[in-house]
Amino acid sequence: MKETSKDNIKNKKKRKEFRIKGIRDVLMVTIEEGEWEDELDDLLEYIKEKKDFFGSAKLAADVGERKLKATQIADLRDGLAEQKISLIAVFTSSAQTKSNARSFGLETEPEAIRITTKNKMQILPDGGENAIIYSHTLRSGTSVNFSGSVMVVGDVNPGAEIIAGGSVLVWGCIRGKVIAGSDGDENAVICALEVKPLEMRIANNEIKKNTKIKNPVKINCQNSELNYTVWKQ
Amino acid sequence: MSAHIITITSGKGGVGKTTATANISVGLAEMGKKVTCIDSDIGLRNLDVVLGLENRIVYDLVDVVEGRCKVNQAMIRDKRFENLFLIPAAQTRDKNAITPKEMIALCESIRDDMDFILIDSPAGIEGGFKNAIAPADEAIVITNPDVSAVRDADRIIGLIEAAEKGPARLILNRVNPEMIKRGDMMESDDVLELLAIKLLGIVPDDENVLISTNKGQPVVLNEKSRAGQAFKNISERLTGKEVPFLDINAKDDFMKRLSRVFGKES
Repeated sequence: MKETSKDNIKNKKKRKEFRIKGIRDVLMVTIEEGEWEDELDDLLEYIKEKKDFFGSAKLAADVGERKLKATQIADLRDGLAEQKISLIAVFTSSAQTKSNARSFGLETEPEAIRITTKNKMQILPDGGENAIIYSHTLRSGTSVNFSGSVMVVGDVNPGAEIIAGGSVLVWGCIRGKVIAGSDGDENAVICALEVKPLEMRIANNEIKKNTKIKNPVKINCQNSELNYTVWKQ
Repeated sequence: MSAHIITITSGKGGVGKTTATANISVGLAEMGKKVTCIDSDIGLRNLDVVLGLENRIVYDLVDVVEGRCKVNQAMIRDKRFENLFLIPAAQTRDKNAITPKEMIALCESIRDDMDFILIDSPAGIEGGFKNAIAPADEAIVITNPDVSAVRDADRIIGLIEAAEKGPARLILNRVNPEMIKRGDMMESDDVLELLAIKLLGIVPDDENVLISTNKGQPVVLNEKSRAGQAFKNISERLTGKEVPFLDINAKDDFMKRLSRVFGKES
């Protein structure tokens, strides 16, 4: 899988190759030693040429031990965005680069990519709205932020959070934080087998503190109020 | 022979990683297994103290990694069991002194001579944890029945799964039946329901643990101690034996009877 990057010779005529690796639905590119600006130009050029391959991918960049300023990371992100590629993570051994990348909300731990992509399927339901499925429990420290709907086959533990533009369906217990209709969509619903959340809302309507529902429940929003449909035996 | 490498970790500090590592190592050694335990808590070493081997340290983990000695020179033989060894952590360095790759290489170098290698992980989810988990075949997560320890355990279980070392097994440490009865402590079942991993053992709260730690005599050697018995059971389960669990959640009368039985034995 490792396609070694061919010579780093400064011969500009020679087209530079980049090492690209796929981790589930994320492409990871290694940006080798060299002047950042040059490497960045080469990378963007490379992506432009291979537009078919990259499509509108999610990209993670491994920048090694480079110390990058916030503006340099912004250049990378913006350059990629112009080609409809979203930068989601920067991996580095430099603490400075790491904290700068975090300030842009980028992931910096390789595990994060694996967690967010492992066992995850993206489906397109009839309504045309996007949804993702997680077929495992979301444990503390996991954050799911998605513009469509989210389905979890498992629990949402304390310390885990789901922020979904659409609805949230949990085949398990919600103990953590769940927000449905995060962009203000009051038609979003939350369904779960059990609900005792730390924080939960649909659009701007917050659930009452210390709510505990031990039966399967569907929660929807009516005239800016939450409405509970509980299934009892 | 090829050792089974087990990392003992928790996320939160002070829940009993080092105590568990020491006791399980001794428990396995008592059964005749060849065991090496490695203290990977560089800068805050404790395992040597709990095992009572503090004054025998010449070389440590970092010395091996940096090539100042051979690995067998850093392996301290236990004074009670000749088949138990300790590789101590360095006290004057920090977690960045070694890398996950070096930990893997170190474990591989002694793997063929051992039945078990137990790694005592430092608290936290940073470099030290990554060093400790890298060589593991299996991870054991230890937690106490309190909300913060369980939350951290949940986080660490997620990281173990992400590192593809899962599924981890759980030790629930310092369970106090009296407090559970009064409703002042999380019930074991609640913890298990939340963490949803396989239980390896429940260790009751027992003042003998502290006493034996201070003496450098692991509590597993104290036959009268309930915690010692629990650690012995855990060690046996690790060798594949089926040992029934100590029933901590039993009904009031049964619990009293149980403690009376234990009281008589002591």
